[in-house]
Amino acid sequence: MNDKALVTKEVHARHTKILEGLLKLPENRECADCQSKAPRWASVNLGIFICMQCSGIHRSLGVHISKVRSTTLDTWLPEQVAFMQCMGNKRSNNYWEAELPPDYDRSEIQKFIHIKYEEKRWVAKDATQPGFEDINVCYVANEPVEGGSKACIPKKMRNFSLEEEILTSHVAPAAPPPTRHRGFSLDMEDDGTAKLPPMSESNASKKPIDGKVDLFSLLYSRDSLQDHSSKTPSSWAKFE
Amino acid sequence: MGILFTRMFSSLFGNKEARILVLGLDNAGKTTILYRLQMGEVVSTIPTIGFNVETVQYNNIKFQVWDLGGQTSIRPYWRCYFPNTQAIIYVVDSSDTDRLVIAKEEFHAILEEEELKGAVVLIFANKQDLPGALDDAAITEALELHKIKSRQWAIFKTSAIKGEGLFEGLDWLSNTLKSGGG
Repeated sequence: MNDKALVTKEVHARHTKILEGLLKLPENRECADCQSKAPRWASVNLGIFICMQCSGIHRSLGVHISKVRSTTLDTWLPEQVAFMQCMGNKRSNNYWEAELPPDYDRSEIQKFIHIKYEEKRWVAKDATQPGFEDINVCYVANEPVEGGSKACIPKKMRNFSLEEEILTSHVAPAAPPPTRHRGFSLDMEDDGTAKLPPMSESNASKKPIDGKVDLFSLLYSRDSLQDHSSKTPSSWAKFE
Repeated sequence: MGILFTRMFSSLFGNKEARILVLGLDNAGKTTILYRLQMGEVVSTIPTIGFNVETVQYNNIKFQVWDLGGQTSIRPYWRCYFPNTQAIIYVVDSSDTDRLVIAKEEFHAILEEEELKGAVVLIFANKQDLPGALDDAAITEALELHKIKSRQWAIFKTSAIKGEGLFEGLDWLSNTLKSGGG
């Protein structure tokens, strides 16, 4: 669910900031599938950042395989953001591309994505899909969650025997259990504003390279300031 | 003879035009439906940021079909397109059961809009080809369609990919519009 009513403006602004931070991590700077630069879309149940083109292909798979959201145009639930923090492109691809031949031709990207997620051709035989249980590690971790994979325990990744159905039902529950929500909020406080910045300027200067991103920013900045909170921290005060 | 008949037929009913909005949550299948209706083909889509508009001639009605982007933050822009709309096609991903509550809320918010008071409503319970898709009865219940008052509406099971149900829906729409609805 992506309900604005369930996510306050303040939480939304935090989520936006966290997602921006995740997108600056080296592992998330390329689309998880086609490897093009500066992805701005995501699959919230696979935990990956993807480009707009690949997001269209993911949408065609159906929500039982991939649930696509925009990092800039959608409202996210805390669980979804937390899952992105714990997963990310690297960990996800460790699973989905474990047996992918290194020189595999991705030019037929639609076919590639179908084979990868629907057919699961390159998943290692003994592997289980990294799941939501990882997030519990994030919740209790003292490490800043901004780092994503660092906060999780990669060694355990393959040992989780979480079924996809369970994962799906956990990724987007109607209302998160209060205890989990609280734990998450604490992590968010730690994460918050302070730990993101040094990269932001260099990254902001790179943005115009990607036409799509530019378009989104323009569209978005016209109406809703909260989504540019990272650039205008003073606007946080307006959300109260 | 056929052409003559067609001409007589269309002069009887006139070439009625109708402005239709296709609305629904992101990834409901709005754009795929639009181009399936217009071109009869399944096109590869990317998320719609903004809108697509096409003309679809069907049953002597020239439908001007507006397909508007469904991402959370661009839904508020839907209202810019409300004036002079004769019909809404509301598209639901019947397999995305997690978001049916949101789909319902957005739907009833639309119905409360003053500018859409006269618009008839056609609901497409789309993506029937996917596993776990709810049928029209279940979608009717989930969207609380029984709460609709003083408005003509109908729901159809559709699969834009397979091309099923769409023109049945348009048949209903054209008949309803011809008989004065909207």
